Amino acid sequence: MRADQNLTHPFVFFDLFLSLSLSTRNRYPYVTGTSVLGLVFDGGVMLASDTLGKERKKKKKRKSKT
Amino acid sequence: MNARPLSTSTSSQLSLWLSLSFHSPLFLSSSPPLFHSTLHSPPSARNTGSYGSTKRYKSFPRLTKANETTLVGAGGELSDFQYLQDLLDELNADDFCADDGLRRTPASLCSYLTRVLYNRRSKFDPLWNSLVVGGVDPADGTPFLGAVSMLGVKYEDGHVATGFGAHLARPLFREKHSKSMSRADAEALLREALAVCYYRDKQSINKFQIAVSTKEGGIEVGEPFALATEWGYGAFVHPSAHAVGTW
Repeated sequence: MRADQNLTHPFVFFDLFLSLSLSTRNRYPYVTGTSVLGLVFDGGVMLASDTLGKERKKKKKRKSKT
Repeated sequence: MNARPLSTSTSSQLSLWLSLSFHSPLFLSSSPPLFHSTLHSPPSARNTGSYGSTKRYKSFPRLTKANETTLVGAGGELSDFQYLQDLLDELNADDFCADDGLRRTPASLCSYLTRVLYNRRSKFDPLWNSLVVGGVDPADGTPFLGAVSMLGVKYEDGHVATGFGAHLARPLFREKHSKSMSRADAEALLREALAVCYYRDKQSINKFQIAVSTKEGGIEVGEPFALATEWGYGAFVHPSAHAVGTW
């Protein structure tokens, strides 16, 4: 709900209801990265990782039949 | 998910909302998708090159400078990581505006990120990241290295790794790492560990970055590089040669 909306408007509560009940968030990560490594050495710290952003397919519903 | 009729009571609305906003506790940063993709993909998809995931962004820097002496590396959801970078930028702006010459230390940024992740986890809306925070104290140059999980759990050690690296790289580190090792030795060890992870982690590619934080040199984020790899081993060419009955 935006701050400039009139809070006394009768539809506001319906709006609130919609925002609470109909909105869904993305429940799984979509673009992911893998491991990060880190080491302390004499005088500093070193970090390493690869540079990949891996995209994941949307989760499909599995059929009960295997 | 269907909406309930408007006549439902407030409490059932709340429970409905809770059930919608609940996030699975599955930790998917690195290793589980390996199993996920082989178990859950339909048999017809097994011969495609994708196995349920695409190597989409091949030049995404996952190691960044958080402030003058702190590095943050992230695994997991990368858009969440970009959000965290925005938060860290705000902290830097605050530090700058205070104009008192003080900067947040790596330890304080690690604590901050731990709190942010724990707070979001407590809202059932976690930031899906596992982080490594490292750097030197700007005052005395003491090195700090910590890892934060997506649920807001933190640990500090002389060597850390997230995801698959926690299983594959840390045993190597335990064997060969010491806090007094030279920078060249540390880099050689990291490259060895990266190769070990790369051979076994299907979610990684042969394009790596190393970043260093020292008191004298500040933050240096290196250019991407590739490791020399060898795929000609007999066991790689005929993986099932000595395992009769497997596929």
